[in-house]
Amino acid sequence: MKDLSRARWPWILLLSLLAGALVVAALGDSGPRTTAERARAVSESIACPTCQGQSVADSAAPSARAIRTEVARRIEAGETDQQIRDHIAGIYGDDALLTPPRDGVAGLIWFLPVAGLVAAVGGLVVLFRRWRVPDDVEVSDEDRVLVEQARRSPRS
Amino acid sequence: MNAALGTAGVTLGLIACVAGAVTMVVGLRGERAALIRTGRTYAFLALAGAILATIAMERALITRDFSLEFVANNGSSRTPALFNVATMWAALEGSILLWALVLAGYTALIAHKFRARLSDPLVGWALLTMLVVGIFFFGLMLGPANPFTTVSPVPLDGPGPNPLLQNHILMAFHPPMLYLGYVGFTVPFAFAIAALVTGRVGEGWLLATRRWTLFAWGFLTVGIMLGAWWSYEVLGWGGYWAWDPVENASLLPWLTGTAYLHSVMVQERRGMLRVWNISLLCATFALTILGTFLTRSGVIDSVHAFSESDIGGWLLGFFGLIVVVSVGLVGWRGDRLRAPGSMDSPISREGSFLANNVLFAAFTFVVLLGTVFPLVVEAINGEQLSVGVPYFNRMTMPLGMLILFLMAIAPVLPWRKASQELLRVRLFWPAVAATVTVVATVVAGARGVAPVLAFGLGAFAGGAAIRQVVLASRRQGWRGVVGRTNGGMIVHLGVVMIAVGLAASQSYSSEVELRMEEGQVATVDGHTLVFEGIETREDPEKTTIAAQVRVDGQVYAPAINEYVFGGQTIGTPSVSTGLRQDVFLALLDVPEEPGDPAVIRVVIQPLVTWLWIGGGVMGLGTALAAFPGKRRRPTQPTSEPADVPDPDPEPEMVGASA
Repeated sequence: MKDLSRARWPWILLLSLLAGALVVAALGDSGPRTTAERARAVSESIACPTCQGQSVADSAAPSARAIRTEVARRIEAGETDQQIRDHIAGIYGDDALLTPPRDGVAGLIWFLPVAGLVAAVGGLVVLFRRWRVPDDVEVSDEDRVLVEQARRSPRS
Repeated sequence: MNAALGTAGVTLGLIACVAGAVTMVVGLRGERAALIRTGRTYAFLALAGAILATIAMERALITRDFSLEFVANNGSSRTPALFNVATMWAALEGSILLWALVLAGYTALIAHKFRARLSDPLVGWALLTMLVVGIFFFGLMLGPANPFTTVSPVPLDGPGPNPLLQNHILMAFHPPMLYLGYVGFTVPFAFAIAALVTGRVGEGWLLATRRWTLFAWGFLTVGIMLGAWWSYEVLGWGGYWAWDPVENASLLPWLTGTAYLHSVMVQERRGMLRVWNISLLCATFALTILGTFLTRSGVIDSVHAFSESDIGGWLLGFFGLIVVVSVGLVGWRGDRLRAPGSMDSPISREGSFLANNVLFAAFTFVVLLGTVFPLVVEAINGEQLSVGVPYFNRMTMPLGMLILFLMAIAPVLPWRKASQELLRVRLFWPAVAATVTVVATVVAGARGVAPVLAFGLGAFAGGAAIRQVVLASRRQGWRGVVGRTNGGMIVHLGVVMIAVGLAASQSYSSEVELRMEEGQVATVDGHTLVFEGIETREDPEKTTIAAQVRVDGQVYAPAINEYVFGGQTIGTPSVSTGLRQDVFLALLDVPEEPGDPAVIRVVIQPLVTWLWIGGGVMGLGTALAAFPGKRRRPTQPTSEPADVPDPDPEPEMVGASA
């Protein structure tokens, strides 16, 4: 088995199988299509106006159920998801949407984590560059003697 | 009587903490060993005070002593016995008492375990730090969160705890578990502070607290999972995690604690990352306080915010104090904290721990940002906005995937440097497992890149974990599943189960609202549901209206409870649990007149049960990881392979035997 894992072709086989399966998985999934699926997705991004911290999709409150019905009606009427969200925000205010906007001060919530991650990874790359030992280090006889001495000395 | 007893207990606790702290300071400053050793007595006295206060509170709740304001507000004569006991942590004052009890317990344990080393300044300062934290919590109970204030006239009865909190047995276990974890992080924090103060910032204090940190982390893990389970079984929307501020507050210290558990190994092995490890511990402790502030002060709305008061300022002040002290001490000890070493290659065990820490720090940042961002924006420009599930899901999912990927690579990496060939050899079978899983799930009909990728990465990480445990067991027998590395791999297996459960249940759930008349049959996703009628039961505290629904031959009874006091109505879902799939039933509307339809929400989610199993496996793995391994001689360098019979010394063993 060792030889199998040391060779290159099993890995190429594995990777191509993996890529193929993922492509099939991706093609089979073109977003929510049925009205019910879309309604669920839209409701999940709207805050229930009368209950704290729950989305319209999750809440059993009458107001949430009313909005669910409204969302389903508007989807049937041919509106896009964004149009429906805008409509709800127009009635209940911007904080009715659970997805913060991408512009203005609020947009920072999307930008800051990504920027932080990039900065951290960049910092690590720089650090490892600095740490890297040059490959062409010459080992002198003096070094060999030192190593030999260290190996011979009894362990305390 | 109960009020007097309780107040006496709290006062005793506070006095013991203050006296103990003063004694320790005097003793430590003057290096008077005899004085320092008396610190132990004060720790025990504080515990006695906390126990006395807890007994008084439980006695008041059980005997229904409504002269106590806490009992008058949260107890009732109709509450069942078990939830009577659990009412203590159903509201703010009682939960602070629980906090103080657990803290005093940990403090006394530290004082007992380290009794032989008490005059060692490191232990002395750690005990002092714990006593100071004790002063804060006992102080809260004599100030803004007094559990023993009395009312007059004495009411005849109370409203009982929030109905949601007296509805499920998990309420008796989830909060104590969570507190054991939350408060447990005080121990490593105290030792970190002590290390900074004494200047002994080497690895000694890490080893001394290793197991304490592990237990705190294990309790927190299990506590969080029990909380998710409780949400699922009680809240009635079919979900288990809503990125709610209270949930986030428990997740934040877990994230930094997890980062610490990994990065600490780099310090033990290579002496690096000292500042970072101390900062992680301080952050973990500070985040428990910040989380308590966010959820208890009422600044943030939450479904779980069962108590609010003016305690906010105190908690925020304490949080500020922790931050200032920690940052100040780290700055002061900056010169000693600088690490001498360097890392050879990013493709190494230590490199993967660094990557782990970057990912966990980013995860923490996202959760913290999402939780406090609405407050910040409102303070800046008055704009009102909400941050909810879609944001958290989108931001944390890629991080979760990367963490899974790392969980596959990291365990096979050796310290120092790995070659490409070594990676190819060691990752071969995990990669086969991943590919087989991905292909099999796609053939079985799974679609969508994210869930399929999650399954594949889960198998990859699971394969790497199993590989480690199998190799170790082959060499060491039963010891192959204990010790830090092997126990950690069991924890990883639990994480994989949870990741797979999350991916499956989030991506492939289906949900319908059924309007059913009596005797009607419906088919949902291959399950046959029959609505067989309504049953009503009267209890002293509530009226339960339960729908009898037969799911695949077995009867389930989702119900609506109308509580007598306050007229609150809450649902009790009923779940048909299976290893493959859960059918979750919630009764939304009962028929007003016989013959009218009932409205039942049906949520079908695959693999939800694996979340709870995974949580259990994580708890088990933590216990195994804490199991004492073969002792090394302290003089033996840690890079030396462990002293085990090694019939077949392969290069693989080097990485595995840490």
